[in-house]
Amino acid sequence: MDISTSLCGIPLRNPLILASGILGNKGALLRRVAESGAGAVATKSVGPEPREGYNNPTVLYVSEDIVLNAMGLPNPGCEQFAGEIETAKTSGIPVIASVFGRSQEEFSLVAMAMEEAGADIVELNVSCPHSLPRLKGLHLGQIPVETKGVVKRVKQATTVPVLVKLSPNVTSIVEVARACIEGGADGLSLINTVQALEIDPLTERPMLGNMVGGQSGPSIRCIAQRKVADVLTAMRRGELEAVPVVGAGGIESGEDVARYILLGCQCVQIGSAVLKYGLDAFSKCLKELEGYMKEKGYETLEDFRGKSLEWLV
Amino acid sequence: MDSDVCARRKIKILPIHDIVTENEIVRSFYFKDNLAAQVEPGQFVMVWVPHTVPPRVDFSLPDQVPMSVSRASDRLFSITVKRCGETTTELFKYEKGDYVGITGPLGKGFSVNGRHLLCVAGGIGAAALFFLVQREREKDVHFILGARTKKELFFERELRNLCTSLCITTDDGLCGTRGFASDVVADVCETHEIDQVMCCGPEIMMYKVFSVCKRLGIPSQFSLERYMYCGLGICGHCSLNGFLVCKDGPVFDAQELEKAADFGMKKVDKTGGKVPIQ
Repeated sequence: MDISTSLCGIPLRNPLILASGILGNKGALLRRVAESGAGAVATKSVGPEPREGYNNPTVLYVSEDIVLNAMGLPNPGCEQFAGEIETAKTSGIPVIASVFGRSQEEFSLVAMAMEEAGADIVELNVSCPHSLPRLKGLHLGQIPVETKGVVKRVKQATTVPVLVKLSPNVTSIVEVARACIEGGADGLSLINTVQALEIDPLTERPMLGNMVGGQSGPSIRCIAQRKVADVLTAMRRGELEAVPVVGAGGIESGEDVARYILLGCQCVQIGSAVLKYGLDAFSKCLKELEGYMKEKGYETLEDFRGKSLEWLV
Repeated sequence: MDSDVCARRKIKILPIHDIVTENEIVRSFYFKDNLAAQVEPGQFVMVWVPHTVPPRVDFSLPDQVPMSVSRASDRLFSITVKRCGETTTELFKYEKGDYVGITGPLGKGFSVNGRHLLCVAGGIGAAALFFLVQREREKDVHFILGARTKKELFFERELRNLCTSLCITTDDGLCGTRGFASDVVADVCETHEIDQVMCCGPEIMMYKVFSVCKRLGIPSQFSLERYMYCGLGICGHCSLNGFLVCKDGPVFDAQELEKAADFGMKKVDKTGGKVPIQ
């Protein structure tokens, strides 16, 4: 059985990628994730200068299936972070640098620094509420024309493949995907967290330090699958130029991985499952994926990639 | 998934059951909770101090910080808190019955091996070791209690009752031996044929104790602190050379710390950048 794949021309030993924001602020931790079986790792989002996160609680375990977070993009800035990329690279697996900025200039500056540090792929975090502060209330990824501008600028400044992580909090994810592809994106990863809020009835207040945040965990998997299907269906119909799609949202088993591959995803990202299973999340999903493939008689991921999409086109 | 494991990760809003003043700047807050009271010495709870005055939205006020548990029995447990920052200053305004968010118990605590134990505490680090001593009453436990001044000492009376010997150090020498807790470790170890050393306090002091224990060949464990966002092993912010302080720790064996080049040298600030330990 062969579960290897590739993403934008970069070979991956398996389709499991550590999602951005999880354990990704230190190269030594990314190495541990690599050792636990991941096919690639994404860093925590890095910006142009050091930035503190929000006050706690920043991560809220609402239930086994609902995790809320509002971290506030803590990061030491791209200059200091370069060393972490170098450490992560010693693991031997591809390293994806997640990048954010407040302007096209900042996005491209950080992306260049990450490429220079050795990142194999850059992923643009356009769902960050701090991007382009003049657009109050909206984040960059909710405005297709702004997103396109950022992608275009980063593509001009870098040579490594550029992914864009899409927010589900939009009217039409296909339109944002189109803007990214027109801007030159080499691939798309979706979805980022779903806007969310939790209230504590005893203290009668929002529980996150930032009041509002984003939801992840198994509770968003079916939402994510629908968004992924919308984008891949448009590609299959020829309404959207086809680029690799990385599925993300609530994956915590081999069957979940298979679901996204069946929809036509090239790879998947795993995040919140680390809360429940620790670093064993990767070996668990891999073993279960192989079990699924064995049962179905599949030798490679290509044998079943996109099979479920047929029902939707 | 084990429902117990899930419940440990959720914030539970608990009314303060009791407050005991330990000294001018240290208070113990008691809570009633079956699950959190299962805490083992060295484990921690995340304590959310939910600033509750609406509607003024001040994002800088509410905060949640990791704290050691100082006592636990049946359904009751206490955290012992030193007033030192914004969150603890806010907590000190709270009264019996006020709500606090507790998550836990979390992390890996101390694991005792041997008969003759030495606990080395600096400052508020005495809280975690005080709990350990209560659990190891049948052992021969010696205690070094270090504080900056006599006024900052706490648990002195309780420790004198519980331990085989108690050695107090203060920076100015106005109470006990003048100097740091780490200064007297070698002497106590040799006098009492200590099998294992447990240490909690400022990291520079712990690093000195680590060095002394290494020289003497005595196994030792240290309770570390790093800035924590999630406390649940997912954000990675509390990383110490690839160890997660919230999940792999906060208590580490000396052998583990041998591999952690930043121990005693560098910590991580709120941005994730490394800064020297003063």
